[in-house]
Formats: sequence, structure tokens, C-alpha cells
Amino acid sequence: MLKIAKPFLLMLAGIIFLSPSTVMATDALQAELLNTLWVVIAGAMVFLMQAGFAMLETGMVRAKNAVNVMMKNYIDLCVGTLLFWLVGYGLMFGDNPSGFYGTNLFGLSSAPDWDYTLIFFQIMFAATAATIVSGAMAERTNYIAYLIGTCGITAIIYPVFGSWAWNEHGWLKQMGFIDFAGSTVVHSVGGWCALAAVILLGPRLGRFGEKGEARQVPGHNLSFIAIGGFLLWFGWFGFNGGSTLAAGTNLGHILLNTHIAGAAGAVGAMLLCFSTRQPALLTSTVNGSIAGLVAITAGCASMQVPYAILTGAIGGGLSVLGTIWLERMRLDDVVGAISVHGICGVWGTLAAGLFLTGNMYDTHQILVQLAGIGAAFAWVFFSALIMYFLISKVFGLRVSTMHEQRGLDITEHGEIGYPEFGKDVVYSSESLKDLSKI
Amino acid sequence: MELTLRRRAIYTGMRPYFDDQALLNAINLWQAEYSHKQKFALSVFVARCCNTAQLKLERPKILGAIFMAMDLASDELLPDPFVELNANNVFQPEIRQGHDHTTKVFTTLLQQMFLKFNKSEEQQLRKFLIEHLHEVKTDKMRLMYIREWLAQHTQDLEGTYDLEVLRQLINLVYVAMCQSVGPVKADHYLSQSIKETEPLSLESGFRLHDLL
Repeated sequence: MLKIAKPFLLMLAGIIFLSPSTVMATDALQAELLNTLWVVIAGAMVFLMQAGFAMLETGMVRAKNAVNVMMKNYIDLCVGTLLFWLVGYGLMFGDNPSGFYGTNLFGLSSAPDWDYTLIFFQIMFAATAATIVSGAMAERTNYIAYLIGTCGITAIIYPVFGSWAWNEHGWLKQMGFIDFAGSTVVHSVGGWCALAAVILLGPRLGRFGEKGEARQVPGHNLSFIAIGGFLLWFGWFGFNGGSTLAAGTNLGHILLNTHIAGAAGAVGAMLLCFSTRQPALLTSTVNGSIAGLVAITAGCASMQVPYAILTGAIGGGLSVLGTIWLERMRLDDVVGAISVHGICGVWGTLAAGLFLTGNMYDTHQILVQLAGIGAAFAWVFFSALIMYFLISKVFGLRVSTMHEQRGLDITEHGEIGYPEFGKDVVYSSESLKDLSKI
Repeated sequence: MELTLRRRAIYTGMRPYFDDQALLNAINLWQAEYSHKQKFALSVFVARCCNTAQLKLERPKILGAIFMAMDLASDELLPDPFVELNANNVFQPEIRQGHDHTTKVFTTLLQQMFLKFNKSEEQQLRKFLIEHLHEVKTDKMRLMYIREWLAQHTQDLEGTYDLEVLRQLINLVYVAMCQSVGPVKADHYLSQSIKETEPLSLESGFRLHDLL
């Protein structure tokens, strides 16, 4: 009896599962599952960008400040995560009747599964915006003051602008502003916060001579910079790819645009160095690729591959020019965050409007993009300036000269990054220029 | 005009109007708060020194006398009051007592740092230190000794000092070195100078790193 019933039951089950209504329900479930899986994995990839930032920035500072930079990158993620969940997500994605800020979804503890997926993914973006600032402020910033600044960025500055551009009812979104994964929303926001902080902090001791000449302060570990660059690049596939919020068929196009713009950015930076008779430094090359990635972030889903190359290459060139310009302004940005994230974020957002597939060089779209860029600068730069000014008055933003002499690893954390390394080396970076050519 | 000559000019200009104690206080005040400032700050300095009705009336004359003294040749000025007062043991004996190991190691370290520069650069470093001495938190007498030691390029610094004061002074030299040659070289010079001073530190039993 059982032998006869088994095939019958299997057939019955097959009929039930293959009926149109059941197939549709299963498809929807599978699609949601796939989307969730992709966005969660992409979020985890973006998390890895924190490691990339940590390594890149640590490599660019002197050994006596290495622990401090690592610590800042580590803890800003932790503080940013908690605050973005508590306040930021609601401000950014809550109901937004005014178009200027969200009004609910604060400290979400009971919600549909998809909302948790979104919070997880968006937390990584908020942490990225905050961590961009740490490198620019390196080697002279009070640790506690920096953390308070991180709170301000992740809880207010970043989500408020995010609500304008990414909330369904945000005023910029309503105007048709295109910033697919955050050239402006994430990167320029970080860059402009960094600019405000750097202006208030002032340069590191002796960074500029009496006549304004820039003195280079080489980073202590170039390998960290390269590995940091690779990690960031890898994380960017999650950053841009995950921003689809769906496992769609356009992922290949988005990731190819992302990758190719990063490559073009490095080449663009290198070509600019050659054409201006500057040495093609590893730092400039890695920053060039990141600049290309920043630039393509806004338009990675909406421009053709050749334009992605152009966008990335110009981004790479701008990162070099931006660094030179900032030095001329006597602004000491240790890692080049302002030019790479701020300036190239602007370029990328503009490029997303210029090279929009099917609607290229549309004046209205370009004006909308410019409005978004201007609004981001006005809101982020001035609010960050006020925030860091208040922090400097209440807690003190800059450490004392004694801290700078000892290094922040000792004065802020009581640790030494490389306790076993000898200080006497045969080839120091200073002696390189005196070596004979071979 | 170098510090000693300016001090002698202030002393020469004010001598006819003030008694010994008031003059000593005035010179101390000038060194601590006005020696690094521009000439026009002298009117504020004189105003602060003229604290009696009689002196207040004579304020313009005193100021004029100081400006006149500043135009005099070196041999027309009165002798340096610092040397005179020092010789007469006017300063507190506890400050003047012989230099200890700490001071010796400190002066050696500072001199090693100065030696990394040529004469004119070294002079700039010393000038920077003198101009920023008012930031160092210690009494005026000790500041006077340090100022004198820096201005005269003498070997030994008289007196005993808190470690915190010596640390502040080394930090001031570090800041001056950063401004002069950049932070990378400054770190290098500091590290080199520490190594060169270590033998003396070991010999004297004083921990050099207490100064850093």
C-alpha cells in the first residue's frame, strides 16, 4: 500500500508546488532570499573597507602614531554603528514629510526582516563616511574629541543629508538627484567634514616652512598603504553592487564599471604625475585608484563603460591636483582624504549627470546634480565646522605639542605600535635622495 | 638688539627713578613678560611699574629715558644688572645652589640638539626659546637664569629645576626644530641627541627619559 502511495504523494506535491499561484509565491520568496543574501554579503564586504581604511591611513602616518590611527578606525565603526542604529537610520530613512529629515524608525527593535537587512547595510555606509575623516585629522587630534566628532557625523550630519538624497521623499531625490551609491552622500560628506576639521586643527608641527613650502612627512609603512588600497577596492564591489538592494542582472555592469574606474583612476593619477614631472609615488597611485572608485560610485549603474573609464581617470587626476592645491593652501590632510573623497565625490556626482545613459549632457539633470553637490557642501561643511569648533572649545580638538613630540600612541593609548623594532636603519627615507643611481 | 643690551638699556633708563628692590622687580617683570614683545609694549610695562602717585607723574619721562638709553652705545650703558645682582647674591640661594645631575643631563641634551644646526640656525632656535619662555610654568627667577643661559651660550645652567620645567623646555626646542627643519628631521635629531646624552645619563644615574 505504501509502495503505491509514495509516487502518488510525490506527484500530488509536484502538482501543488507547480501550480501558478504557488510558483509565484515561491519565486517571490526566492527573490527576497536572494536579495537579502546579496545585500547582507555586500554589507559584509563594505565592512571590510574599514580594514582597508585602517591599513591605508596607518601606513601613511609615522610609526609613533600608528596605534592611534588604527584605534580611531576601529572605534569609529563601533560608535558609528550604535548611533546610526539609534538615531541616524530614522533620520535618514524614516517617514519624511518635510523632505529634510526622517521622523521615525529610531532604535528599531521590531521590524520586518528586510528592514534589518537595510539597517545592516546602511550602517556600513555611515561608518565609511565617518572614518574618512580620521586620516585627514591624523597625528595631532585629541582621541576623545575625534570620537565625539564621529558621533555628530553618524548621528546627525550624514543621515540628514542622506535623507535629502536617498529618502523616497527627500527634496533632492524628488528633484531627480542621481547618486547611486554615494559619491556625494557618503564620500563628499566625509571629505567636507575632513576639510572643516583640518581647517580648525591646523597643520602638524613643521609640516609647512616659514615661506609656506610643504615638507613631506612620509608614512611609515608603504606596504600597508598598498594592502589598504586592495581591501578598499574589494569592499567597493559590495559598496556599489550592494546599492542595487537586489540581486539583479545589472550587477555585472555595475561591478565592471566600478572595477574599471578604479583601474583608470590609478592610471590617470600616474599619467598626471608623469606629465607634471612628479615621481609616480605609490601613495598617489593608490589614492588615484580610490579616487576613481569614489568618482564612479554615483553613476556606476547609469553610465556606459567608456564613460566609467573617463570618470575614473579624471578622478585619479583630480586626486593629485587636489592634494597639490590643498598643500598650497597650507591645509594638512595627512592621507589626501579631502581631494580623494571630497573633490572626486563632486566630480563623480557631476559625471553621473553628464554621462547618464539615454540622457547625456542634459542641462536640467546637470543643474540638479550641481544643486545636490552645493547643498552637500553647504550643509556638511558648515555644520561640521560648527561642531568641531564647539568640540575644540569644550574638549580641545588638538593635542599639545608634547603629545606630538611623544606620538599619540603613547599619549592617547599608552601603547607603542612597534616595540621590538630598532630605530637605527641604514636607509632612512631622508637618505634616499643622497643615494647614487645604479 | 640682543637681550643683554636691551636689559642694560632698560636698567640705565629706569635707574634714576627706582630703588634697588623696585628696579629688580621691574627688570624681572620686563624679562618675563615684555622682553619678547615689540618696543611699543614698553609703555604698558612702564605703566605697570609706576605704581605710586609720584612715579605715575614721571611716567612719560621714564619711558623717554628708556628709549634714549636704547640709542646709546654699549659702553655708555650701565653694567648688566643681572651680573651685578647675581654677584651680590640677591637671588634666592635655593635657586642658585650648584647644578645637580638632572640639570647637567638636561643641558647636555639641549646642547646636543643645538649642535645639529649651524651657528645661525642655532641662534634662531635660542631666539625662539627666549621668545617662548613665558609659556614655561616656573618662577621668574628661574626663568631669568634660563634666559641668561640661552642668551649667553654659557656651558652650565645654574640652579635646580622641576622635571616638568625641563620637559617643557625640551618640547620648546622640539617645536623650534620642527619649524626649522620639519618634523621628520626633528624626530631624527631628537633621537640622535638622546643617544649621545645616554652615556652621561648612565654615569650620573639620572634617567634621561624622565626629561622626555
